[in-house]
Amino acid sequence: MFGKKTKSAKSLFETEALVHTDALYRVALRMTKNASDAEDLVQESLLKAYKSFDRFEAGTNAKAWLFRIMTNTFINTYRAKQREATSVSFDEVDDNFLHSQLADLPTGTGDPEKDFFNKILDKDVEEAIDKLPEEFRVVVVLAFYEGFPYQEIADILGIQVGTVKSRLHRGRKILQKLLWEYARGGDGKSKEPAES
Amino acid sequence: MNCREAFAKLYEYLDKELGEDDKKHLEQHLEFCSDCLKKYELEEEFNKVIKQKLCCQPDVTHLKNRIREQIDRIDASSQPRNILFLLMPLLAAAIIMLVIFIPSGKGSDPQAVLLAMRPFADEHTKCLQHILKYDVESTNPAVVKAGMAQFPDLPEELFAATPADISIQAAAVVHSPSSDDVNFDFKAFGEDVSVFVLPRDTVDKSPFKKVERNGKAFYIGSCPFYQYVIWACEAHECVAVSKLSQSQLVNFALIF
Repeated sequence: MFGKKTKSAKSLFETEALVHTDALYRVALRMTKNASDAEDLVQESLLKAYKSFDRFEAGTNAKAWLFRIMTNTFINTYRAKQREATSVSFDEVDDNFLHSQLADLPTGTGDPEKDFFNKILDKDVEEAIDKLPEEFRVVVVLAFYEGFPYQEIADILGIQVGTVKSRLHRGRKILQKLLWEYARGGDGKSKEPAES
Repeated sequence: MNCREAFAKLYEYLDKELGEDDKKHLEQHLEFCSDCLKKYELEEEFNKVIKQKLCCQPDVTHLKNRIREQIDRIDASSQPRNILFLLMPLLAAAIIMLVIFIPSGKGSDPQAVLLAMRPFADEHTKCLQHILKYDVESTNPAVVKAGMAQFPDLPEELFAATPADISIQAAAVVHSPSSDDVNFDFKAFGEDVSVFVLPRDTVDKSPFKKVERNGKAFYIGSCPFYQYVIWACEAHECVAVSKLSQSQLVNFALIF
């Protein structure tokens, strides 16, 4: 199993695994919040995948398999380095937060919903996601960036589908609150430029 | 379906995760309830906007090339070590036999057990080196240290080890599907513990003896050194090698 890979195994790895490098990197970037760690994480994960590639069954979901390897690698190595620093309290975000904020605005000044969405910048979204506590962040990123179904996210992270649902739900609510504060120029906004 | 129920299912509907029945009921509710429909449309728009803004296509050409180079390096270096690796199961099997049979031959004298097994220390080192080469998640001391830092109960000396020592003392970082599972039972190992966590397939390839105790499956025998016993946990896809105290070891050797 540790023998030299045949040429076809190598080209299979190219089409089944390396083809997902950009997807892995996108997610790694939000996991590690830093480009050089993200590159290392993707590289380490893909090399692990390569070493065990002969156990991968062709035709099964390579992408989910790769994300699983990467998530484990992240949890086990990179996370230890990170200190979560969140400036916003996420204890309870009302389920209707965004809806009621918009409804409370004075009427007669255009379309508040449209205004709100127009004010959200690309980097705001990244910044807000980076502020999510890790357990929500990883689920949100897998769902939003890659569109993985709940069950696959559960498999990747080794958690229950119900947990995926509730983390995604809360993740969305926190994001809404953060982005609302950003759009209103509130305290949640970080003054530093977003890392990329 | 009332508004509360409808609201609870909104995200699943949005994510296309709702079953046919629920979907039908929710759609019926949205037809008649403008308040919920409004909430739904807001969530739908939020979802759309976030996804749009996240849609970035990073340039990973450089990264891919770096990975391809590493892969070539792995291929180039893996060939000659194979023969040694194939011999390991035989070696380990021989040691297990010794571990298992010596106690009964010498009665229950713990010192005799330990002395008889001591010469295999070198084999232990070789075995671990093999594991390090092939199966551990990382041999980078910094990474290993970071992994080990997740086990606050481990003795300080592990972290004080020099990089050369680490390759023997702390072989691997953890491979487990969920972080919650990582600490599963290490506390039960007592104070004198070093933990090596190996991918499950390492266990599958090895001539381990599976033993069930107290409802848990243990595999013993892989690392042919008297102080180590392999503990495997099937459900967690990981294995820990624990260093036992002498008395624990003797008990273990006598039990099995």
